[in-house]
Amino acid sequence: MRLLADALRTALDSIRAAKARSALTMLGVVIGVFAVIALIAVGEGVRQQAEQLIVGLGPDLLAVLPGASPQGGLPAATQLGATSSLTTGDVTALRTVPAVREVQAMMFLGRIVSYGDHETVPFLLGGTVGIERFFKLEPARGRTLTAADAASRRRVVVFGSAAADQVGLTDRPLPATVMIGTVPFTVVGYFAKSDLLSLGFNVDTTVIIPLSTAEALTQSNRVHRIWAFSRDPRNLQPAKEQIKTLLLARHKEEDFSILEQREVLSLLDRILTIMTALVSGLGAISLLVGGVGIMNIMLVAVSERTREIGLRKAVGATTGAILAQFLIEAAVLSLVGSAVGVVLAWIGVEAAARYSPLIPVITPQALALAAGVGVVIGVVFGLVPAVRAATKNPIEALRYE
Amino acid sequence: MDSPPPRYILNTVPLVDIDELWKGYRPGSVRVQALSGVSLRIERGEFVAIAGPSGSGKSTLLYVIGLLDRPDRGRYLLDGRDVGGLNGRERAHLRNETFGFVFQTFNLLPRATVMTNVLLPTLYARHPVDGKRRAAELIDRVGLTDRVGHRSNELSGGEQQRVAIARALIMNPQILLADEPTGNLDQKTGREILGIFHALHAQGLTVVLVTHDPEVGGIADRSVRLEDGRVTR
Repeated sequence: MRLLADALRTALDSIRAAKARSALTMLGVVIGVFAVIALIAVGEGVRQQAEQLIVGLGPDLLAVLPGASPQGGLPAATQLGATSSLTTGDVTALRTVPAVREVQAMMFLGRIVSYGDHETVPFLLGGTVGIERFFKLEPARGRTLTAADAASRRRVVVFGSAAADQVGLTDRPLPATVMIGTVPFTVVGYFAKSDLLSLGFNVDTTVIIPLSTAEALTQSNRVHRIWAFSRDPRNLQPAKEQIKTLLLARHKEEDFSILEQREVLSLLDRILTIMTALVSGLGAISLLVGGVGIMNIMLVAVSERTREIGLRKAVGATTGAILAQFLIEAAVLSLVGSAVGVVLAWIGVEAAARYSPLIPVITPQALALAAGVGVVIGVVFGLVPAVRAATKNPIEALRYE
Repeated sequence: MDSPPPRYILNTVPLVDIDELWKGYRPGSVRVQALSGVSLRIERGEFVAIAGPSGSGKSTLLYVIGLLDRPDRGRYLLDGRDVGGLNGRERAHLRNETFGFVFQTFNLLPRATVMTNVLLPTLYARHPVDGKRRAAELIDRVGLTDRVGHRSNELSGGEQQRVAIARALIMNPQILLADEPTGNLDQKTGREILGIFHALHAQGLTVVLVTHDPEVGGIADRSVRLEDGRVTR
């Protein structure tokens, strides 16, 4: 206990005595912990928002995705723009399935959208009526798409706020005319700015036209997502089986996947876990650099304090006591660095929550991780210097100039 | 071999009993024979000066006595106990409890206060000691009460050596080992420090003092002279 107090006092003394050097030493750990905590917080924030969205769509939702689903894995053809195995014909056919009460579908289009001199490539999709609720979008001005638009294949379009900004449409009176590719469309409404942060794209860059119009525009009947709602929200199996039977009869092979909400959630979870692990890996590299910095400074300290080590041994310090002293010093350096990193991450998270749609979440596990990493980095990288200190010959140490 | 002075009772065990000690170093490419068959007995309560030119092996002898260094060959009985086979941990505990060291270069922790420096050996004590009170007494005894809260790098050389002496005494050792304790001090301050050693000896403490200064050797009960690793007197 007294040894611990002495080691802590000595450690804080050394930090105080060489403030600039200590700060530089800790910088690597600070950046590493900041990066890991902040990135985990971002991942956690995205996860929570995405889960809210998916859960908000209801427990009766079934996602029909193109491509076969490998055992427990992600369907192959879920990327935007990949050729889909699903068609508008499937959508129409699914509406006849008894256990399904509602069917929605999306077609992703890659088209330049222009207004006057301005042009942009928005997240353009052809959707069934009401598709905007999948992105939590609501019209702020004008109207959204209707069954009448779909039935008449009207060339009408509703703009997300960011997409409207990009082509200079914001504040223009309705109806305005924009070009999608070379075809003129009438803007009938604008969506309000979304409070949703979505995965991989900004929801507010969404531009929606009727699915039937999209089919005519692209000369293609391919759709990329179908969403089916089960009539019975408690038992999704009948709906799932009926959809599967119908699509198998139409496609002659299982080139599609049907996922329940919890499967979508676990899929999302897996993707986010991988993403978080990857970006945290970058933070971990910084931690490694920080650890090497600590090792370096501790080696310098051991060398500078050779006489002190000799003296401590002369007055009765065992090898273990010296080892512990320098390990504690390294751990203190590293822990102080972690603490600063956590504080910076916390400030960053607060700022992000205030000034961006992102709401990162610092979990207690992340904090425990930071503290653990602080100690582990210190002890692991402090080991070599501490062993060097502990095994010094006291005579030579006392004579050291 | 030195025979103990007659005023000590003959059948008591000597505090330090060294027989045929050999110790060599290899600091560079050349091997240096620091001790070549040194035998020495130190009785309880003696003040022994180890004199000799530099390189004669006197510091090595002191460090072997203080269990900081291990001889290559020879027998060392400390208070009748053979310490040759002790492991590092046991030697560290003996250094803590039996010896007090005073060095030429003081070797204080520079940023720590006088009190912290004096208390340093108590950190490594196996049994809790009432260090603070004893430290205050010792600091008073070496005349530094008004400096107790100062950092050691704010003190003069003589004051630093007084702190070092108080530190050497904190664990109530049986032997005080001093390696050229006046070597870095002016003559007047050196005499004051020697006066402290003299007083400690008068109170019954065993003192072994290494010096190359014959005048310093004058205050000891007995001088042992080393030359080329051998006792010559």
